[in-house]
Amino acid sequence: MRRFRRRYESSDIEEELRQARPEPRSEFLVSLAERVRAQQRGARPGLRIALAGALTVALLAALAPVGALGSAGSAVGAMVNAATHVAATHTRPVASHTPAANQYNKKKKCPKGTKKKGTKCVKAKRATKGARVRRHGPHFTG
Amino acid sequence: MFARDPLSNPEFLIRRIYAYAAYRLGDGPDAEDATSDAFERALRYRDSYDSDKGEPVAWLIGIARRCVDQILADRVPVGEPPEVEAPVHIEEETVNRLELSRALRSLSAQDRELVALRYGADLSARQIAELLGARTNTIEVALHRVLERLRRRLAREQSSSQEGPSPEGVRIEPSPPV
Repeated sequence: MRRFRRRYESSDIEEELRQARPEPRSEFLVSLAERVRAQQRGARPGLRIALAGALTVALLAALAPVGALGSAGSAVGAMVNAATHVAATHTRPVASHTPAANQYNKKKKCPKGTKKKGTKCVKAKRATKGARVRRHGPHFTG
Repeated sequence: MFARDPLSNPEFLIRRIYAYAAYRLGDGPDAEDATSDAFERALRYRDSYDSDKGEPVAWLIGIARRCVDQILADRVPVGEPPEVEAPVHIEEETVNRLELSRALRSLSAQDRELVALRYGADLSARQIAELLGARTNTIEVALHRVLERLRRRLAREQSSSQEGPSPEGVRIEPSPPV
């Protein structure tokens, strides 16, 4: 007791307070820590999503060198094509390049020397004979 | 997605929270109840923890304060606890701790809270200031005064025990009743 008094008078009380810090019972500490850890394991969706993402990336990285991505891409393309065939609605097919169409759907051409005017072909006008063409600038001298 | 988990090191946090609760409520079942309650709430509201606002221990102490207040409010006031006589050969260190514990119990609730935050939860003056919404300087001054009061009280106890020490041994007061 005497030693405590001497020590207490000279030393800082702060140190005493730190040393005397109450400690929990070890059973209490272990059981509470275990409970906290158990609840942490049960409720961490973020970790699960991250794990799934990491596994996907690892799988893609492993298969990329053997052309798995190209194969997967073409498979997806084929699937889309098949789905389009199944789901698409077809209009009635119209044959456009048939002999009948070639014969009856011909465009009428005007005979030589005539020009189309409206629905009729009329004779084309010719330039007046002997009319001089007016030139601008000096003649070509070579 | 990878937010820092505030409860990743439960043992360390349990020790701090328990020490804080024990400094305010007394070492024993009440402090354990307050610690358990604090961790239950912390697990429930774990997503509300923001690492930018402070360390996990400060966040947990904020929760534990309310749990301790609740227990203090629920306590039925009773008379002074009976004193238990301790054997003469009780270790010196234990005696020191009992003296300190008795002196702490004589402090006001606010002073005890400050001591619990500083020396139980081991928070810095700045962290305490943030928690209590005060200035760091104010907390430092308040802590200094609390320590002075504690020193005086311990000195008074020593002088009184010097005058009339019990021949049988030291009297030990048990923790306050639940």
